[in-house]
Amino acid sequence: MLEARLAIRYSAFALDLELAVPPGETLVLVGESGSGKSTVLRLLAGLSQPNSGRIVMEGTTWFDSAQQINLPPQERQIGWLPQDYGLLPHLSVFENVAFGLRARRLAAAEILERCQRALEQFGVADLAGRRPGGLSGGQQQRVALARAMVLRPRLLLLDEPLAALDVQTKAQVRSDLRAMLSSLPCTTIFVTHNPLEAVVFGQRIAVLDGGRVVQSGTPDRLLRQPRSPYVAAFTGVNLFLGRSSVPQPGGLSRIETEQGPVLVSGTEIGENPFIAVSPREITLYAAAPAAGSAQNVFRGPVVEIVPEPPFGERVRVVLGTRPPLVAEVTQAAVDRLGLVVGTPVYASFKATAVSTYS
Amino acid sequence: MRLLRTIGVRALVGLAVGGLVFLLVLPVISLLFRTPPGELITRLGRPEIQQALWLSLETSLLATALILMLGLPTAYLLASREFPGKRVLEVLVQLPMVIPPTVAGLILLLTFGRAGLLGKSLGAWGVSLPFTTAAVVVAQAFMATPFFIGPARAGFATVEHRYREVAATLGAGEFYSFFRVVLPLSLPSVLAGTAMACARALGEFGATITFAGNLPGVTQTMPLAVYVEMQHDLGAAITLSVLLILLSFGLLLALRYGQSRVR
Repeated sequence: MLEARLAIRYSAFALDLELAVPPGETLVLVGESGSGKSTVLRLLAGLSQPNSGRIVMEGTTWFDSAQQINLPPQERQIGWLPQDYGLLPHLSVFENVAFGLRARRLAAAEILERCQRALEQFGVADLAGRRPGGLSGGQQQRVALARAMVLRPRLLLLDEPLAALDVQTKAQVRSDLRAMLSSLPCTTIFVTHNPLEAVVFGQRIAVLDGGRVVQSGTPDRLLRQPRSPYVAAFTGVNLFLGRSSVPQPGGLSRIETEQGPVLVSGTEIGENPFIAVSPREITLYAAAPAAGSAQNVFRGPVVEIVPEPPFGERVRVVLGTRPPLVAEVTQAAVDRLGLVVGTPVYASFKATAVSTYS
Repeated sequence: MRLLRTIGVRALVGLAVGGLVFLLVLPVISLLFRTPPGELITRLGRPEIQQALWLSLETSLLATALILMLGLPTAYLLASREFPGKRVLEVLVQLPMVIPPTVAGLILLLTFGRAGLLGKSLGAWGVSLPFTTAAVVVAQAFMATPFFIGPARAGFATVEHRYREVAATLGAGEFYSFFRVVLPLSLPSVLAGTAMACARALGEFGATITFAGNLPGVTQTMPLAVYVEMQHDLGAAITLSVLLILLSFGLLLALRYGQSRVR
């Protein structure tokens, strides 16, 4: 079990959060650049020092500001993979993997044996004599993993392990990495800016924004009930933060948001609810719809039209309504309605299509 | 117009480079013209020249070793840490580059001499530094250290911080990380500094003659011997000069090739 409470303040940035990762599990930290993800890894690794807090790994205190405990990185038993893997360019692949064992002054025979096993485990035995400079991104990643895991770390820290890869190889490396990580018994923290990667790799996910955890839970929860505009933008859900709600006749409630009111079904609405509407639930009309079954009708101009996926059948239409909405419709519908940027349209969705959660 | 300007610029650059080469090479050639090479070689066999040659090689190599021992940690400290008084230390280690060598010799004499600050306590142990071969080494190291610190420090500063961090997370302490990561990655610069310092030590004159004196076989290095021989045997002075130039040229040339190898 890793338990950490970290607080650090720079001139223009403050980080304050708590993490708990059960033994052997993978926690994914997801957030925009500047949200503090890499800083969390550096603090856990001991490369930076929090102003206050506590880090306890399986009963060993690595850091405690109250007791003035601060173990240096070399005593924390961690594996840290920085964004571009940080392979030492002047050493061969074998010597990179052997680096930590040599620093521990192990016997030559044991070093040889453990390195060979690690190189084989991560499928890079045939690269042992090469310098890192000539390796592909995926190969470098494997070598860096072998170098970290040969030391049997208690905590593995991966900083955007897929960011340095080009698009063609990314999918293959991602599935390889996933297979490798799931076979490792090590507690892992994986940092990414991509919520879809988070869902692929994480047993638990914590969403970071401005140095704070704004949502944590299972991947499923993250997808279905996003609590940050950042994740909502990625999954493509329309997300609003409600302020006050007023019950309406017919088992409905009217929730005020900063950008305008939304009608939802149900009368038991919690404090400051999140309001999520799938873009597929939104219907577009060229003229005001006659009184229909949809309770929410908004008028506004088309702001942007984005094929989704690129050149695909379906199209995401960004609307300048209040509140702002994104609708997902077919290309045929766009053609039929003659939608271009600036066209005024009506958008509607049913109260039952809205999910609210606190 | 543009063409004319290009030609004009090229001519100016050519003139400047040509002038500089002329200025550097002509004295060397005139040195060789002055005495036929055969005569130079026979003079090489003379004991006082041999003595000066071996003493110079010995002292400048020892000085280089001393510079490495004191300079490596200092250069690394300056490159990797911030601490109060850092600017002062920076200027201090640069100072020997700009003060006149005779002044440096005088400072050393005042420090290590019989009545000097350190000399007194050293004297109590029966150790006296001035006018010994050891004094030559100290004078050379004093004068040549800045030539090592500058390039070495610059080299250390270019080693990406991330590599040291990776080394730390892999369990390497500062010492191990320095010798396995920082030093190999900055080797070209460290070699450059070493060669520059060694060449500077080899050519040291002012501080040596002031602090160590001019005793043949004990403190009379090649530059000192050149000065002495000039007054009664110009041929010997020329032989020594040619030797010094060849040594320095060879050292710096070897450095260039060594650097391109390491890179």
